[in-house]
Amino acid sequence: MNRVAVVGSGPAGFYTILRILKKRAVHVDLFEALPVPYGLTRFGVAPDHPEVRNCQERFAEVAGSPHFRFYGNTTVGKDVSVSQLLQNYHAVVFAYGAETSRGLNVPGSQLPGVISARDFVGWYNGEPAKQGLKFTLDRTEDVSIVGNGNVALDVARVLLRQPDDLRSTDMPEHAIAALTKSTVKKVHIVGRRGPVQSAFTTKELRELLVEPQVQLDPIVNLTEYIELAKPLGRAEKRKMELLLKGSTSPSAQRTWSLDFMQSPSEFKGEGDLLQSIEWTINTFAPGSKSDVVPTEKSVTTPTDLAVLSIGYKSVELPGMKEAGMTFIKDKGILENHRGHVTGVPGAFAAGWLKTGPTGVIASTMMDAFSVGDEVVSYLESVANTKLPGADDLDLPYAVSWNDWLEIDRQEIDRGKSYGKPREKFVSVPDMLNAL
Amino acid sequence: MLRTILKSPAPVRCIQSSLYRGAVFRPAAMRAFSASAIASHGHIHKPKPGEELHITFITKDGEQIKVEAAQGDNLMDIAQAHGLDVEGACGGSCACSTCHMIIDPEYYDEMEEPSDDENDMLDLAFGLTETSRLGCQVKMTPELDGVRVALPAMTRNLQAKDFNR
Repeated sequence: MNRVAVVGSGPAGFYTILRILKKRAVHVDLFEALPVPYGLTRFGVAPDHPEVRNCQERFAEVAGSPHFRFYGNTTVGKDVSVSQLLQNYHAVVFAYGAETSRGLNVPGSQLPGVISARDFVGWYNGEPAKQGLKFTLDRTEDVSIVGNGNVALDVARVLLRQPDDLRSTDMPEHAIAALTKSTVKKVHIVGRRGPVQSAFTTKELRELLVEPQVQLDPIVNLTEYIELAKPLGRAEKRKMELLLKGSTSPSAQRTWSLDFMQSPSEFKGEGDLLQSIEWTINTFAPGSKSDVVPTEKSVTTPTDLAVLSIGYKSVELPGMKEAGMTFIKDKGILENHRGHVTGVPGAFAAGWLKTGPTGVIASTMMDAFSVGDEVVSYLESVANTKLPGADDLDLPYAVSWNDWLEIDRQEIDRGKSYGKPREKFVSVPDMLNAL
Repeated sequence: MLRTILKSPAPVRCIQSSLYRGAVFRPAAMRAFSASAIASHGHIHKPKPGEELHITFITKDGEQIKVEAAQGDNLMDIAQAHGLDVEGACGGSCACSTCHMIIDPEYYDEMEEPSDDENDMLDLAFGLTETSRLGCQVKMTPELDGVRVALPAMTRNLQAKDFNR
């Protein structure tokens, strides 16, 4: 039987495995750096979107296959090398996603009052690497989010919602406590292009527009933007209709704005708070409705905290280059053709490492299925030599699937006393101590 | 247009509609419904004798699969229970677009309009048509007896950007 290693246990990894196991009898070993599985469905999806996490039930079904093994708490590139995996398996699928954020190289972007949305999201979702972070929510009234994708709207919603409404979610207690002390009154979401080109989806927008006690400021020049971008597609049209209607809440404790055609050119601050952001005003580039260019004009707005939400980014694993793989730095992807990693037969990329960090779980799923198909047809073409898989790997600290089920059981149990679906362990030692 | 429960299983017809580009109606590939095809997931009810509602699913390969269903069950659960390739990532809670299905236009008009929430998700579906629905949101009723439902091709080599619009 062929042996396949998959690196990363988020949606891309699991959906690739699901597809492979559906089409071919192979052994699959799944390597995950953390003791707990599911990647961004655990650490990225907002706690108040539990239905989006339902895919985890399907992943657990996959993990129940007799041909599946989980090696949690096992970092590829450290506990096991990339070359070792390539030697020990007929195919290796790299699906470890995008764990860092794109940065912004403008004056002041390194100030403590400028944080990344990735860090903030990881923090409120209990991601171990983000637990040491401290945010100034108890001294912040005005937040500016740079970028207007769904992550930006998630961050805004978490900041704008009444913290009591989050108590029934699986947001960890420390985050709920910090949000309860939050003094945030206003959230600006600022995009470099126009409303029609904004990246957030209608569902996320609708959610914020119907949020009680939260109001969206009317958008300046909205009808002009819409006229300029016509004809609109179905999704754009529905999104613009929603924007034209605005918030449904008659009163507001907190407000938010959607600002367009601005890019930050300088952050100014003192201590851990910001004072202001200078924005360059953009203009649509002639002949193109989607692309913008900066003008000479600028505007300065006062703000206490800036959240950069301009995209996630994958990182290269140690040993990839030596194994002959090319990591394309500016795109943050592993060079590949339809998932086949260029130059290394048997190596595959899936998920955001393959496509770049865009799209929803549904798009990652379909893409992972296509990679799964590629893996299966590749396996059909290779000799079925006997390979050791994980048998000769020295992994004394690996966390098995049954170990995870025990962590899972304890987290759910801890949640009961708070009346929530789960209280996550937020550090690796705590996860391991549960075993 | 009302349909009676007694109506015989839907005849196999060729629909001259561009909406069905991805799904060829091929009578030769017809497969009889068999109870043994029921897989582990999907939560459906056994129809009461004489109240069976008929559905013909057209897979992405153009295969026609006829099934009998009970009133009240939804198209996603029914398709999954019969082992069809429908993922349903959010478990039928209208939070993704992975159970996107294309409904026979003749029957589409018999259905209630999709809700705003469903339309929000359909906006993200690949290969959206004018008679697209989320399978999890369409419950079988006697009016839908005989409906044909095409499952869009799932495994095209997609770019993530295909989903942004």
